Formats: sequence, structure tokens, C-alpha cells
Amino acid sequence: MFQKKLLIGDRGGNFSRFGAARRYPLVFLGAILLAAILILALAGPWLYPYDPWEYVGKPLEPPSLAHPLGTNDVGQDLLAELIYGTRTSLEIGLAVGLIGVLLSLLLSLSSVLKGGLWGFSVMRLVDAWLTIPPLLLVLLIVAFVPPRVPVLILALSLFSWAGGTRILRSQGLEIKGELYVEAARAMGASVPYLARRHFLPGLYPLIILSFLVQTRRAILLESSLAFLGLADPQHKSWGVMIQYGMKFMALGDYWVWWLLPPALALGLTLVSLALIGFGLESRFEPTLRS
Amino acid sequence: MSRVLGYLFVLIFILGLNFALPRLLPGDPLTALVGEQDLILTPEFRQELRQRYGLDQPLSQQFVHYLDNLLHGDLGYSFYHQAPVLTVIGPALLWTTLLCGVSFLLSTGLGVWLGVELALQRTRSWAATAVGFCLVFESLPGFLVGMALLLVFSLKLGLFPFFGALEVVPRVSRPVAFGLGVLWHLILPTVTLVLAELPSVALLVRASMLKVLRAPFVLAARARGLGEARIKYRYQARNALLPLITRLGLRFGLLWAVAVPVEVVFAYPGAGQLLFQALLKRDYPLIQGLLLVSILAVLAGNALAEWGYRLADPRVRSQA
Repeated sequence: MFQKKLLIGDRGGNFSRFGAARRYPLVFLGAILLAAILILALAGPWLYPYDPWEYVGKPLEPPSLAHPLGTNDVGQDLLAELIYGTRTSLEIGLAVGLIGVLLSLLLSLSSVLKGGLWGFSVMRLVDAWLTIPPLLLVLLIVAFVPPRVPVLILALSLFSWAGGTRILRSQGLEIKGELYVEAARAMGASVPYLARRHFLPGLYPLIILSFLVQTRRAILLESSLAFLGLADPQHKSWGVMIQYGMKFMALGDYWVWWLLPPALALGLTLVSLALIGFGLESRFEPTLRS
Repeated sequence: MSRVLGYLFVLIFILGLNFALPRLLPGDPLTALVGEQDLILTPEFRQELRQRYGLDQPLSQQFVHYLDNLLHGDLGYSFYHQAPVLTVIGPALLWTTLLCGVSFLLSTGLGVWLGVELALQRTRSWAATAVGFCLVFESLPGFLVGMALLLVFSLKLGLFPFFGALEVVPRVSRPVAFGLGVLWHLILPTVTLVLAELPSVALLVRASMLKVLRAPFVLAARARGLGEARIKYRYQARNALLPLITRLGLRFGLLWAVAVPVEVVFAYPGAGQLLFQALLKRDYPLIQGLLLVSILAVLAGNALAEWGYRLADPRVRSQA
């Protein structure tokens, strides 16, 4: 995974993996957590026999060997629901993160390299866009458009580009002032060449960081929307599980296997992404201090 | 000036979206106006409503009509509540303003204090632990934290009420008991919002405080024999607060959005809870009215904060 490459990267070959883990414990911890969650999402449906839509047991069964997290109020398996919810969260999070980073890369590079009126209007738009509270506007959209997964991805992507554009642009402007860029320009380097050869390598720490930030935000927003009842009915979601689990919170110990697991899964996913981001940020600090 | 243009663009985008969304719905835009009541309308009444809302006119005229209504404070009519949207959302907005206002003040004050201390005592082990906690709480969604607090302090320990905002106490004859009841219900949601908001403030203040720890003006102040407390707050923190102040408007908007699911957790009768109910009942005019007012309030707050910041800090004025 990219973390390892980054950590070992430009420090020479004698830098052992264990040493990297000790040097960047936060990144290491976050990466392990995230890897576990990814494995749960990818392999879970093959390893675990139940389908979260089938009525496989009696309603409200407590945990047993057959159903490790028991069943819900209509007899569906809760662990299966948790596993499929992982897929939804990660799918939406990663897709929005990717779209957001691509958009912000495109906008920031074009505004740096083209400048002029285009660069000016992009930045003004970014400034104004950042003042919109994303949750409220996405709520407005998906209250009217049925919240299918592609709709959610598009609506969340609307708010995933502005922050990244601002950060990438300020770093891009700095790279633009470097002598090597000036030299390349003097020798007639084309814009695509400059972008590929000089800007992308200089920006890549920030690209990874803003990808992590946007993914985290998308997962958080998706779970909040699902918690408020705006989720794709064809996909299981942690937020929906939490919403139902909360209704049974006052009823005996049901929260232990109904509310706690999705809450923990969501919390751990978000914390692991934050840990990786924070660890990498302190690793990249020399480039960030600008 | 150009910033005003940016705000204007966003404003037009949001108003346009708000106008277009009900009309994008498959079928009749009337469905969006009357919600579930759509099924029981007679054709005559339907025709009358259509005329009243001007849905039989061309789109451009509808848009003008819509803007005109907005300017007069007419946000539509909630068929579920049988009342104009503005009167339905009024009390809810007041509760949310109370909740968000208190949390905002507390999280800003405590966050600044914590951030300053974290930077000054960065070598102590408690500071490292606190930074870790800040990181974790910063990334957790507010409604999860709220649920944990509700579970522990209300359901298990029984220390706090677990829904609503008021005690059933006559307001006029026993004002003290009434006030205490309001306060009592306010505590857990406020703690939740503070826990969600304080870490980012503390981390931000800490980061900018670290930059001015060894600034020359600090050395100069020490050389003049000023007290440490004075140096800490009047000289260091004052400079470190700059990035926080630029984000005050943004943070209030974020807080408002975090409050929506948190109010649902605590069944607090604010805008978030009302929105949740409106979503369940598909009460579209109410959904639109609530979100539009919230978004516009946040935008206005941002514009105000930016303007105030310009007045407060001469350096920004010269940059612009």
C-alpha cells in the first residue's frame, strides 16, 4: 500500500519495515486498522454465509454461534448487515475521495498554469463554496432525488473539491516560482509536460492527504445522512443500523450487539483515516510549512 | 468586491437549486408542495392549488414569483402542520440557536485555553495524550458521541433526561424551576457539540501557538520583565488566534450541521429534530424552508465574520 512506499521511499534501502512502524506509529496503527476494515469489506461476504436481506432467524435473537451479533427486529442477521454496510461506506467514501482529488487537481493545476481570469474565478468560487455547510445542502438534494448510491456519490462529490483545490493551488504556486520550472519553460516545455514532470511529483504528498481527508468526510456525511433516514434502500449502511439500534437502546442489552458494533466500525474507520492523515502530515511537514 | 461576487454566485446557486429540485421530481411538482396529502386531493382542489402556486405559468415567471415570495418571508405552507413554514420553524430555530450558541461559546473559550496550554506544555506527557484524544474526537461523528453520552449518563446512570428540552413545569408561576429544567436538558447535547467542536479549535490554536512560542516579540516582552501570564495571553495567544478568527463563521456553520443529527439523538426540539420529522413525513415545503433558512443564515454569518475580521486585523485589509 502507498503508506509503506511513502515511509520507506526516499530514505535508502537500509530502513527496515519495523523501524518505519516505530518511527510513524500513528500511520502504522491507522494502516493496520484500515487494512482490517478493507479485508472485512472485501472478503466478508464470501466468508460469512448469511445474506443481510434474508430472514434467517427469529426476530431479536441475542448473539449465538449461528448469529454472532444476533438478529434484528425482523430476523435478519446483524453481522451480515454490518459486513455489507462496510462495503457501502468504503465504496462511497473512496469514490468521493477519488472524484474530489481529481477535480481539485484539475482545477488547481489549470488555475496555476493558466492563471488570469480563470485562476481568479476558480479561487473566488472555492472561497465562497467552502462557506456552504455540506451536510445541509446534500440533505436538501437527497430529500428530493432518491438517494441511490450513485446519487449520493455525486451529491457528496459536489463538496469534495474546494478544500483540496485551495491547498493544492497554494503549493502549486510555490512550485511555479521554482527555478527548475522557469528553466523548463525557457526550454519550451509544454503545459502537460510541466504538469506531469514537475507539478505532480511536487504535489503528491498533498494529493494523498486531501484524498484521505475527503474520503473521511464522505464516510462521515454518508453515515449522518443514513442516520437521518436518507440511505439507499438497496444497500446496507452503518448509519441505518445505528438509527435502528438506537430505537432499541433502552431495551435491555440490545445495544451491545446492535448499536455498538456499527458505531465502533464507523468510529474506527474514521479514526484510522485520521491517524494515517495526521501521521503523514507530520512526516511531510517540511513541505506543508509553506 | 470579488468576494461579494463569490457569495452572490453561491446564493444564486442555492436559490436556483431550491427552486429546481421540486420541479425535477418525477411527476407533478405539486407532490413536493403538498407531500403525502397529494393522494387525497380532488382534481378541483388540485387545479386551484396549481393556480395559487402559479404552476401553470412559464418557468421564468415562476422563478420571479418564487423570489418575490422569499423576499416577503413566505417560505410556503406546511400541509402536515397546517401552518405557514415560517411559523413552524420559528421556535425550532430558537432552540437550535440556543444550543449552538452555548456550545459555540464554550468550545471556543475552552478550545483556546486548551490549545494554549497544549502548546506551552508540549513536552509533558498529559499534553501528548490530550492531543491524541483531540485527534480521535475530531474524527468521530457528533451523533456517535451523543449516543454514548446518552447511554451512559441518561439510561444507565439516570443523571440526565433523555429527550426533549423542557420540564413539565408552569413557566409563569415557577420560572426558576422552568429555567433549571431548560438548563438540565441542555447539558448533554451541549457537551456533545463541545466535544465535537473543541478538538479542532484546540489543535488549530496549538499549531499556530507553536509558531509564536519563540517569536522575537516574546523575548522582548520577557526582557521588559512582563509577567508570564500577560505574555501568554496578551502577546502569544493574541497572535496565535488569527487563524481561528478567520474560521469563526465557517465553524458556526459546521456546528449547526453537526447539531442536526445530535438533536435527533437527544430528541431536542430544534431545527434538526424538526427536519428529521419532516423527512419522515415527506413534508417537502418544511424541509426546503428549514434547510434554506439554515444555509442562508450560515452564509450570512460567514459574510459577517469575514467583514468583521477585516475591520479587526489591518494586515488582512492590506492583503486584499
